[in-house]
Amino acid sequence: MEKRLMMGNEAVARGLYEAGCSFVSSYPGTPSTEITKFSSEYIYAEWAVNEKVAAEAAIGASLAGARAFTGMKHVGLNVAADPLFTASYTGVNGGLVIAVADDMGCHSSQNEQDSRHYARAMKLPMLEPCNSQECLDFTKLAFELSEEFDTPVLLRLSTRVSHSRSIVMIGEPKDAPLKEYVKNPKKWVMTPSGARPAHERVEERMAELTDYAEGAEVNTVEWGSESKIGVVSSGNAYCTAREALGDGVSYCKLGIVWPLPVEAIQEFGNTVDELWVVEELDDFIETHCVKNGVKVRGKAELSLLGEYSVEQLQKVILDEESGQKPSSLPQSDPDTISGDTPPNRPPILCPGCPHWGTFNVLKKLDLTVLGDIGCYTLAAGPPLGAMDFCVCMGASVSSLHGFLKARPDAAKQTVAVIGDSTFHHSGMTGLLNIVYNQTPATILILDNAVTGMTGHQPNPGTGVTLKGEKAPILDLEALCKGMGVNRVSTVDPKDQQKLETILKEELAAPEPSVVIVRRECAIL
Amino acid sequence: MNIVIAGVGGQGSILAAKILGSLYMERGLDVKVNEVHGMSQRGGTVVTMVRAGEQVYSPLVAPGTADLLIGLELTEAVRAVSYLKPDGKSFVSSRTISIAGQGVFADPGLFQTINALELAEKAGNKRCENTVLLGAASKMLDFTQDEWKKVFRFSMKPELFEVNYHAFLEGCKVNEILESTN
Repeated sequence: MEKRLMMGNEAVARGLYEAGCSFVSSYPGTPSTEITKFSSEYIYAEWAVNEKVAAEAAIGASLAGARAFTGMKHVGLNVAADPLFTASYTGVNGGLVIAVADDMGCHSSQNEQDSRHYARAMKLPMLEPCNSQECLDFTKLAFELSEEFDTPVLLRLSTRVSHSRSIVMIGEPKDAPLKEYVKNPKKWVMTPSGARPAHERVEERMAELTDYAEGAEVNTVEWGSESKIGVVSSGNAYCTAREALGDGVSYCKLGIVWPLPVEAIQEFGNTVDELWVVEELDDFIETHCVKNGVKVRGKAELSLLGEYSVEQLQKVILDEESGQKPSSLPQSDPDTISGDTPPNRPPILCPGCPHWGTFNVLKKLDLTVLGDIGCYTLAAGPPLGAMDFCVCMGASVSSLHGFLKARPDAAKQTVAVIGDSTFHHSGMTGLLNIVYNQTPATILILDNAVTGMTGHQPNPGTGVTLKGEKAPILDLEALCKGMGVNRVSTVDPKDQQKLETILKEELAAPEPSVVIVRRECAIL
Repeated sequence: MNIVIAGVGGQGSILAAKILGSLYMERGLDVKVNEVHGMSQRGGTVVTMVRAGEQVYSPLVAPGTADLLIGLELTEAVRAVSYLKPDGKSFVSSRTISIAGQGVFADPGLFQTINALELAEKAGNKRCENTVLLGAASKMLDFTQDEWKKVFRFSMKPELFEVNYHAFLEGCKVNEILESTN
């Protein structure tokens, strides 16, 4: 056994290797990206064009009998949700594990959604590690549960768990030979007649999983030195609570957050005077406790927003309990250190980034810019302030269509701006919709030949795979023309004059236009 | 032990944190390191944290509890000073990186700064400011040269070891200079 200081994502990758997983397919997304990157050092791993494709590929590998994995950020699970809801009905052949990394505090995301709701909605078990060792252990356990209960298993991570390092004892890889593939339409073909009995099996499985959760070893109890306060928690929220509330408090730490072991929680609650649920984002555990008659305190006093801090939990949970404050945590005294506060330093496009040229022109022409997800979203902030809209991957293109149907006169001063990787991910379908339903929309594809924001992952426009093998380079011009866009032009954003001329022409044109703004990322 | 490393995205705070975390792990302590990846990293404020002890739960250093502040950039060190406990120590580069649309933030004279950029260049690579500052901070960290050397070796690509260790040694000399001026 060797000891290593590993990032949570690195430990999940190690867990995949040790579990004998042999297929990994994902789309990059902070804070989940490094799982797939590190996996590629051990096993077959690839970048897929989006999370739905990745999840379906992993389902296919599981169907074929392999242990398979896909990892994504919280919003990626929205994209992958369609196949996963039904993969819950089919179950698995080889074990199937899906990691989803939430981003409490919106460090690198467009929203703060709580992915635990998906576990309930999809009727899938969900494990939640709180440190790197658990990332490794729970990944392995997830494959065991997947095969034992014939179910895909969700592994919930978070920015702090994924991106913090802690000590991991690594183990040996397990041999997981390919399971036999047997034709079985009753299990694998989800028509209405197949889905009805499958749903019945899913409900039975949830009942079995609830029994498992009630006694699961991954749910642990630590008794405090006093019997007054008990805390139910999981993941990073548990780490913060444990740090903040010290040894006086008792903890029921959940390793499996769906299905919830309500009886075990009630039993734990019976031993303390007041039972708190400390969970970041939504009142997921709390709601289920209340529904089952377990009396808890939680979101009435604790925030639904962001990450909890040690100070916040001490104030809310311990202030009523004078004298319980751990002395190991000195309180900050703002008066001891003086000095002016510097202005904020928000993230910004890199020096020499080709997007500068593009957005300088868009700003000069004073256009309404429907933006998308990528480095270029930074153009929304100072000093450029050249973006009017950003919702999710691909929305720039599809929403421009709706915008122009509603306001046809805006066609001459409105554009959509989307990066190459985001266009592959979910911009193509929106463009086809524009061509089919005919709006004179102008789309800029900012092609820097890489998935930049998440750390320079190769994509179908790069010419190389995650494993470093040569791949064909997507011909964007031919693709757009093939969809029926007659006006496709290509320009280097360094030539701002030419970009401006082309944009003016395309905005005036009475049909759909695509302008491919092409220059390699400056830090490639 | 709570350490905060403040800087701007791309300055190498993650490597510095990994080295510090590994030193404590090698000593048999529990360690947590909190890193910043993704969007906020792009030229924005980056605060990396290292915590070590018998058992460490949260990877985050609470305000007012840091024993040590390493400032890779002066403005960010000023911003992060609230993490320091009253008797905490700081090792801060004199380097300032201008804030887009705001310019360069004037040094409020909070720290006795170190010209880490010059020392890194002297060592052979201006990107080694991070290891220069580790050298300076090593004064208050109870590790032997052998321990540092071992961790440097496994924390980076072999071809980067020499220049980084050299930068570290330049940083170690800073203490003597600082002391002689005190």
